[in-house]
Amino acid sequence: MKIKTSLFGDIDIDDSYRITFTSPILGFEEEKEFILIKNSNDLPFYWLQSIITPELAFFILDPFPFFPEYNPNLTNLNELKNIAIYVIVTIAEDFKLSTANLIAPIIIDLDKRSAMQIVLEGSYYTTRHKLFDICDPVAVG
Amino acid sequence: MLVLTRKRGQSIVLGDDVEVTILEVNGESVKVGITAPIHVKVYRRELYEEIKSTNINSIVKDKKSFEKFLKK
Repeated sequence: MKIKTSLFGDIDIDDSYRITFTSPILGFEEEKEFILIKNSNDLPFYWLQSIITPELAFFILDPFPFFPEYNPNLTNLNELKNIAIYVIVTIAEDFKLSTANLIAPIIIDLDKRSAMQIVLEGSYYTTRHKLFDICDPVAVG
Repeated sequence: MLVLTRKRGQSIVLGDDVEVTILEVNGESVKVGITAPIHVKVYRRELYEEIKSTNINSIVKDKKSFEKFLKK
């Protein structure tokens, strides 16, 4: 499948990387089809690129290496056996000041290749958790 | 807008499977309990707006900041 992207140019990607949002990224109700692109390194970062809108891409990550205590309540999703959890990053000009949205993670059902952004209403998480403690840099990778 | 008056312990039924109950009234605050199926999304309006604007602000315009970070 060939898609156009602003960040990566024209890319040809296997259809199996396709993800369909059954519950949308809030504010992007019309955008349901994305692909998940892994970075070409060992860091837990991914790009979530829209298939239909070249300019629409998010930077997401596996939250657990950065936030080992992260414990989203997913009891409502018990019936899903094989899921992956990612959070959207708001990239700062100085990357080290970037923040992650822990209150509204992206849940991917790996069996169905479907995704949703859920809201952890009633939790103490926020939309802006710093990825790095500037005084005490986190070793990643 | 439909306006209804409720007392503590009373509830409102929305559709076939959503119920909103007034649990506690304390001055300006009202505590409500909501029972709804999993597919019904329930969140405070201001949180919804905040997540939406955070999502919009998170669209990646370029990879410069990330690439600079990787080079270090």
